[in-house]
Amino acid sequence: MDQLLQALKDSITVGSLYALIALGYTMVYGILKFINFAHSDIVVIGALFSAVAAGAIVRLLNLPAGEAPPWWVGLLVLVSAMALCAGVAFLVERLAYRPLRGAPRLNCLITAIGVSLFLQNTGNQQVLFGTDPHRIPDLIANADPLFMIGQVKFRPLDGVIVGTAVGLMFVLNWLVFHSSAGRAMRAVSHDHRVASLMGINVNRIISMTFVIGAALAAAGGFLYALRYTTLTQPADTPWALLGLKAFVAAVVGGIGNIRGAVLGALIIASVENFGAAYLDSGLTDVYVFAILILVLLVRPGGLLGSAAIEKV
Amino acid sequence: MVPLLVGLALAVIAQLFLAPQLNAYDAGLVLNVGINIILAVSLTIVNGFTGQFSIGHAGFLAVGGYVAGAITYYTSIAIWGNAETHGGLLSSQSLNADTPVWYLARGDVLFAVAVLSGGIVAAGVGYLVGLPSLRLRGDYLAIVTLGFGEIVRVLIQQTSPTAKPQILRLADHPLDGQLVYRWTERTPEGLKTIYTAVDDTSPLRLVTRLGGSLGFADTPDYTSFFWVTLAVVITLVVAFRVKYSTFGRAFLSIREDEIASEAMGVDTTKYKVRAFVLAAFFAGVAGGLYAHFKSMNPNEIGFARSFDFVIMVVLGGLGSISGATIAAIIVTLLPEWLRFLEDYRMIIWSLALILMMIFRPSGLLGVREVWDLWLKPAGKKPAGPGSGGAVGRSDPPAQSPAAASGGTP
Amino acid sequence: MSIAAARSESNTQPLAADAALHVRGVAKSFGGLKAVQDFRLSLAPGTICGLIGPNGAGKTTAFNLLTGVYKPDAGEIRLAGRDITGLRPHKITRAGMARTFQNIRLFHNLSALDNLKLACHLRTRQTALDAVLRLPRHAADEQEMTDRCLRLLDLLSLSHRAHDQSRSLPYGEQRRLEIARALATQPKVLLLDEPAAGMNPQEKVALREMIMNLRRTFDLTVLLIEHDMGVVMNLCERITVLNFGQIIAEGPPAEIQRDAKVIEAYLGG
Repeated sequence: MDQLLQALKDSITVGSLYALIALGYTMVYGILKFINFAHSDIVVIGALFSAVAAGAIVRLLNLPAGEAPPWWVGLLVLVSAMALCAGVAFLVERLAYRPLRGAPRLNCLITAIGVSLFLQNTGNQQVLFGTDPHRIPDLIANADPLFMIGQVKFRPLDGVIVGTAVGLMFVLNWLVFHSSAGRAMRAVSHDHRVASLMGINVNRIISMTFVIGAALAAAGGFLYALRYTTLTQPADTPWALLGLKAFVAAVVGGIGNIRGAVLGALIIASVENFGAAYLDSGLTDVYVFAILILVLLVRPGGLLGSAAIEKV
Repeated sequence: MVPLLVGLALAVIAQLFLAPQLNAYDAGLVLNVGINIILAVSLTIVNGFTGQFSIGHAGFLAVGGYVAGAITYYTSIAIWGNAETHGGLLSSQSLNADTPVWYLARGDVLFAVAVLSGGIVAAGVGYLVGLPSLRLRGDYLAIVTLGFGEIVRVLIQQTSPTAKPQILRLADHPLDGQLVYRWTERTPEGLKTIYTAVDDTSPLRLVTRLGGSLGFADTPDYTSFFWVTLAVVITLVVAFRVKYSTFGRAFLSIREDEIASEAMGVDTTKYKVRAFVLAAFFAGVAGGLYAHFKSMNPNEIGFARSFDFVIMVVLGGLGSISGATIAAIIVTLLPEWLRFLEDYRMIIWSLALILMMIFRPSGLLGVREVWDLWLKPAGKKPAGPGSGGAVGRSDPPAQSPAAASGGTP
Repeated sequence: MSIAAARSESNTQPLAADAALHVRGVAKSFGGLKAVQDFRLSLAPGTICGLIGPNGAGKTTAFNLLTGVYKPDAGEIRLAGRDITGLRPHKITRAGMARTFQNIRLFHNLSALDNLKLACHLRTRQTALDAVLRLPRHAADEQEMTDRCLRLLDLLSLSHRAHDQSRSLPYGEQRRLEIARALATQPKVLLLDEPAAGMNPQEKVALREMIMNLRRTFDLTVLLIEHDMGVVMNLCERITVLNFGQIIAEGPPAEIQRDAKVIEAYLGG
């Protein structure tokens, strides 16, 4: 029973992390129809920047040992990470992706891989994050659980992760479905040409999509840093795997579909956590990709998506 | 048949006359270049010819390498009681006093069978990976192959250390004095050391003993100039003959316009899968060669390795066999010459990739081969296929206003 | 004239078994949009028929349904009596129906000759092994393909372009090359999606001549979508008119020209 509850709790916490990252993939795919491979590196920048910035602030505050910093430190780190990642994504879109507008998708994919390798290996330089692992200081008092059910502890950090993620998703939901910018975004994702005929500045909307996706990814990175504390170098495999799982979540939910990304993220996190709890914990990646293959075989458009019809 | 004989002659010459001239380090480099050529050219068949995008090529290298390595390692122990090389002159690493007299020996047969088996198993795995993902249009193959490469890595990491042979010296043990495998197994009573006679050990108990995260290092070193040259020549000949045949046109047509290709009677799914399986086969062969030259290690078969091959294919020009060959040579050797740039190596490659896509989207050569540049001078008229702007189907040509305005979507 | 004779003969629609192409009750919707409803067609062997209608009437969708690009939601398509409903496009092409595209879809980076040779691939006799080992069957097969494609190029006055990249061809030649490529699949039924689009009046006359010649030479049945009424009325023996996905008229050109619904669809649209 405890095992079940623990797996369920972890699924929801990790799922909301994945969801934040998956949203960026699905939004960019929805609008440009290509996999932004560099998205996972935005997450890395968000996470590592959070660790570095939080470390610097905590050192400045010179707190007595064992005391958590005031609440605004976390918020400040989160917001600045989101701003930084938004800026990086804006530049990436402007410099690398925009010159390829209208080029075959394969070219965009190759460029995205190039950007991803570039961000990773630039981040690996000693002047930036270097190759040593980083540790984020404790930003919230996490020792005492909020409450317990059986032996399963619900810690404040779990609440912060889920709360932040859900909060941001509500903001995104409002932005996409209830604001004029969101309407423009949906129009562009439907048809670039028609949208531009309607007076929508397509390039600006695409930039906006990247910026929003990156801000969410930064938040995901920040929360990831809080949860997993030890962060390896930017070019390390776990980061790429994190991005890959988030992308799989987007595909499983129906790529291009924002609500699908959240659903897919929860499914992928559940597969991982229940798989680890009840089957072999060394093979979680295998389960995730097995789910991907299964979805592609049975319902290629994803759970909430519809198979796209290509115009001839 | 002629190119094959020429290749055979080249391979023998390389082994007998070139190899002895080089020191061990340079020789290793040349072998590495050869293996990377096979990988780059095979990936060109998928990414260049059919315009699909596989980015898990290292996974097939791993499958082929581990299968071939396991076959030679455990079969050698079963036959000869050790995992030394039992090859002839053509598979020796160095020619010196104890060089064998025979050109080929029994060990070479084992090696050739093992490498081919590695290729065949990789091809089979390629079929299983390709079939579900190649039915779909778009970038799914990229994601699936990336995931596949990762799964292979994770699974290999989960394997147990290799079983090592030894003559058992335990007076009270029934197998005392015999050749046995020794390994530890986790049992309900805790770790237990197991000895099993080499002759009585079922292969099923050995398939999971591939070194795990420690790597698979004890494979005999058969990979020589002869074998690598031969494999490179065969790969190149097959790739060229496929490209310049009706099957190559079918591959290229998928890249150019999948819908039109299908409308002209090409079973696009079937051909995509065929290209993918062929590429997987050669990658598996390359893996087999690699396993008998360096050690297989799960840390070296991840994304980063796959991306190396992608870079080779893209730089060479998507669809150009000679381009991929040249790029494989450059990408393998350049870091050796530019040691001082080691820290910036990947930054330089990634920038090259990005700039290439912006300014020369079809790579250095596009689909053309090197000699097309001389046959039909550039600038005058677009030469072979692919000299134009883009990789895949590019924008339709400028249409007259009447055409643009008429018609129902 | 023979066309007049053909017209009077084709006034009665052929039965399903005799028709080169017989379509009954085919429908397709995208989401809530009924793109094509109850589409029916019966082409007598050797005729040239037209499919017309205002923009967005569903003509290209109908083509895509016939050629398998889309799977019909309902209905039945028979090619020379054989049921081809829902088959994938390459199987339909193999069964003997080829097409051109409204927005030219040549293999732009391949030469004109290679474009045609690709279209011969479906009837190739060599195996992959023949090609890799360069066995005699490979050489013979490739030679036969080349010869046949060169003859086709010649027939469509494209010989001088054989080795040019197809993207470098002028627009009119690209259109012809697409027709040649469709013919290289050795079809019995040829579907042309706006063959005259973007052509000047002389070119249109030449196109008309060419289509009639091709029909004679290859014993073809032709169905074409066309906006140019001059071309349609002079070339087609029967015409089907679509509007909002539904057939509003069917008959010989003279009748169609007088049909009140057709006139309304064009003028009212």
